[in-house]
Amino acid sequence: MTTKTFWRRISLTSIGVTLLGVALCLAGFAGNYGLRPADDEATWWGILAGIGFAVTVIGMIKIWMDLTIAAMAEDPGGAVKRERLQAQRAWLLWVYPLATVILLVMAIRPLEAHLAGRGDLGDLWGICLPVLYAWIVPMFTLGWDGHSRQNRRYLDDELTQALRARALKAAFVVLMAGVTIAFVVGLVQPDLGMAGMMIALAAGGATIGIRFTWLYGEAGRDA
Amino acid sequence: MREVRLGSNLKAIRTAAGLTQAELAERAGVSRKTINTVENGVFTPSTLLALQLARSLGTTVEDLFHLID
Repeated sequence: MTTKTFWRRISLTSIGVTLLGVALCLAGFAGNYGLRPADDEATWWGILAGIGFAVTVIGMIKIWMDLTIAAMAEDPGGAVKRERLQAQRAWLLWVYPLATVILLVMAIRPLEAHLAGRGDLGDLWGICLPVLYAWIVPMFTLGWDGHSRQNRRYLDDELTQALRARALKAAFVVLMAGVTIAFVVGLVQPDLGMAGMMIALAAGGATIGIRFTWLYGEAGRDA
Repeated sequence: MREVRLGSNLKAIRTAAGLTQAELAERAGVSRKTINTVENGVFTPSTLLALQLARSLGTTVEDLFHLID
């Protein structure tokens, strides 16, 4: 695919939404770190950055959908389609864990506010977002989403099932270790235990995607 | 029980048939990476896939795979 074809396949709306998201995100970060506002105001700048990030992700998903729909219209099907869909899945499984990690970092301040008893609805949403994303990654990896189910014959081959099993094993180890540590820390200091639980869930969710993509990349290499 | 591994002649038979990994993958209805991992011994195929590969190459499973003690 040439650069010209790539850009022709993406709608102006998708580009607009993505750019708007990036602008909001940058404004939020600039306001938060540039102006050095008071706590209350900082929360609003943080929310603005969070909204900007969410809009950016929506824009990127829309771009991906534009590219997919255009490619499907031109695709002869069969092996080409299988390779393309599997490569797209691998790409998404890098993006979502990355988004989880970014959201996790952004959730630290809302969590502090919430644990200090001065959190609002925005803080609660900021805390829950990385955990929600932690659910999305396994759903994509295990093929539970609508797109994967529609394209099961292309995405659910034997190698994929074997890679899923290995990725799931790695995620289970990370999740068990993380939750155990959070539990032990929580016995001593419940506030930190709660923070640890959020990190453990996000780490477990992100691990399955990263490990799957890693194994998928290795599968393409010659011995 | 002794530990045995799966040995594969897939690469030799595929190249002798003049096929690329992608062409064999298309014939067998799997991804190119599946063929690559089977050839490299990273992934052990199921009986069903082994039979599909054998049929795609016009050979038998016994010719494609063997046990290594």
